[in-house]
Amino acid sequence: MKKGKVLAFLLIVLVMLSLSGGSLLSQEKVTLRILGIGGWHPSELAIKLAPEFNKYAEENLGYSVEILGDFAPFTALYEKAASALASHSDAYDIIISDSQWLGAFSTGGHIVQLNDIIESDPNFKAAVEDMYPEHRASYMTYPDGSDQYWGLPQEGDDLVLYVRKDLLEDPTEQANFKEKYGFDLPQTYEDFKNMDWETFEKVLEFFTRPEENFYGLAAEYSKEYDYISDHVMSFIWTWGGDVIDWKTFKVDGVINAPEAVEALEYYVSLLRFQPPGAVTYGIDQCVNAISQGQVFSTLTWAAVGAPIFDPNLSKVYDKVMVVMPPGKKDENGNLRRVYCLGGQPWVISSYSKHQKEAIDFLKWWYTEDAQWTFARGGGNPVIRSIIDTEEFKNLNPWNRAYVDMIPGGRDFWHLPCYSELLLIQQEEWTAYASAYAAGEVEDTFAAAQKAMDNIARRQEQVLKDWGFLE
Amino acid sequence: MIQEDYLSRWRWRFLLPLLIFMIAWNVIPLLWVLGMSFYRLNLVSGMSPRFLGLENYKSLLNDPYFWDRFQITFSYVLIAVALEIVIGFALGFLFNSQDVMGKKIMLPILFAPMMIAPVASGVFFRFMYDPYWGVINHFLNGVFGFTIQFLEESKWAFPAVVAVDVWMWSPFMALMCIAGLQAVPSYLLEAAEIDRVSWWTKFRYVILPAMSPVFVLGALLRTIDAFKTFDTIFVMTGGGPGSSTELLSLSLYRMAFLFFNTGKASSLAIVMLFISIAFTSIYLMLIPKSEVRGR
Repeated sequence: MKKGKVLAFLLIVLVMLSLSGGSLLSQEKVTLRILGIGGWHPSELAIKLAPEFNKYAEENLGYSVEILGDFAPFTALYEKAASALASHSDAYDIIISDSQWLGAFSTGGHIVQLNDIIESDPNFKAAVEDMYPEHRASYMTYPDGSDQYWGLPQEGDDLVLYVRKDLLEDPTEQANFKEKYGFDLPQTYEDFKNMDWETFEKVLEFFTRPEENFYGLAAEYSKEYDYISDHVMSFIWTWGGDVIDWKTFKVDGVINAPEAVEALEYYVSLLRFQPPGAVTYGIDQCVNAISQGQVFSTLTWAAVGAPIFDPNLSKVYDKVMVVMPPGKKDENGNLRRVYCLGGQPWVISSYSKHQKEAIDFLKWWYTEDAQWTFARGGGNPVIRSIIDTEEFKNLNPWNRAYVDMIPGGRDFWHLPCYSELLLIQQEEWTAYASAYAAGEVEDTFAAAQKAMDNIARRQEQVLKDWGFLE
Repeated sequence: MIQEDYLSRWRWRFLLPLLIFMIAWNVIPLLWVLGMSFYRLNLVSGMSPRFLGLENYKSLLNDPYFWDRFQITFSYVLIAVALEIVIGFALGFLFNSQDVMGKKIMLPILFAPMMIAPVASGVFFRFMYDPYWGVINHFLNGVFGFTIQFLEESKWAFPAVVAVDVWMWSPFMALMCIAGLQAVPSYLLEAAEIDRVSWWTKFRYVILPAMSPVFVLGALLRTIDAFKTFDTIFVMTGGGPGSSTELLSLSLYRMAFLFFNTGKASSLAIVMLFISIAFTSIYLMLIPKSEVRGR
């Protein structure tokens, strides 16, 4: 009888526990799941900082929180995030998205609109107002030009130029360069700030020495994800062109306009200063090329600076300087420099069961302490009262260039048909670059024009299919 | 009689679990995909599905890029399977011979490529093709003094990915060939020996008819498999440079899981299914004929 009572008691306890969903055991303990980018330092850093948020939550919000990270590489992240959201899964509370996906996710109702949340908290609102307008436009807004916020910048990023300062400072190199070109090799950050591509091309040519297996540049030309697009689009904007009429969504007459064609032709022509196989280079290959001492410079993201300056990973960790990439002189002789913004927003899933805690986490992320911790870990925060300080600019070798490249920086379309528009560019531009690398192009301008005409025709068809264009 | 009744009574009961499984996992999803192919449906955009009838098929078949990918896929299948048949045949004959030394050691080595996961093979070959530090270019440079940008140039990328498929799957055709050769009745071979027929006559009228059903089956399996190739090309070139290695399977993946254009992707999947069925029918038509000839 006694045994029976004990068993009955245990049974009641078990039933209660199962009905409570385990909350009796783990009261006030919340698990937040974040989907981020695998092998991408800023994403991984966000998860590493989770214990800091737990401490903050326990002290200020009255609950404990565990943050679990799930990662997918850039090339598979959209597939994973979109599949989870399309199936209305609550697998992720927060997703480190890419800015270009805001349109697709928001029009599908998959992510939480943040305007009311931001408005309701003065500190949160102040933090958002303390961001560069370029960051708000790129990481937060859809439709473009509206004031509807759907994401918040997890990290800021932009294209910067990593150069070998030891070679620039070498007296023999300096003398040889002066003798050949009649002017001095650039030496300082300011020298690069005032430099245009025409001048920098001489530097690239000078350091391109195939017989020594050493080359001037490594840049991105890969078909993977958006690699060639963010570079070509940067050149188009810097050359004074554009990829679309942002009001009418017309592509024909914009992307195939002479300045855009010239920009593509020029960017692809830079392959002659790059190692064999550079036509398939993506981020990793650019980082490796400079880290292993194979190139004089690389045009890639500020966010990937950490491995280049890591003595365990880089042969040139103490020989590199990070500067602003060159610009293009306009008709008035002014330097135009409009490069693509990188970085990612994070968004809150509409299907999350812990939206309140996810919002708390994001509010914490933009506190001064958290942003500084992120910066000290090698991340690129976005709060101006932090990133505009000399302390921040001197913290990591890439920080100054990162901050200086933000004003005027631009982003891809945020339209729901983004991935279709992107693939068209990736195909046409890599086809042209590959043919150029193989020496199969006789008239480079005509070939670049053909690629751009194809893009205009194909992208307009996609925009028509989606109803953006009549 | 009793036994027959008993069997017919139990036959359906034994088949039932398998039938349920097939209906649940094959028939229903297939009908579902067929249904979706008649709709404008994008799972991410949140737009309500709209019935389009045959519009997705019309748009697909009128798209020059579909036909471009179809041509690439068809060339890939044709060249890869033809080479695999020739090389597989040669290897099969070689290893079927009694004279080959170390056959027991060499056979497992020969079959190793097809045991490797395609994605791993793709990554290995991407490294080996690398123009800077890849072993193939290292060899070419050392011996001939030049390198080839295998995956970087359109004219080389296509043969480079075909070569990987041939490397992986020729052993499979060799295996089918060995199985076919084992099926040749020894009395026929002995009769041919006694008649002192030429090597070609023996091959043409004794060996080939006897082994062709097995061999045609192998070719059928390889054709269907090559038509579906995805992993190796995805990791080696991503369909590039440009679209020079963009097979239909890669287009289908992008349409379905990058664009989430579920309706149109479903129509492409159905078209691909019909192409596979057409291949199968052609091969199946060949088998009875060869059997007849064999007799």
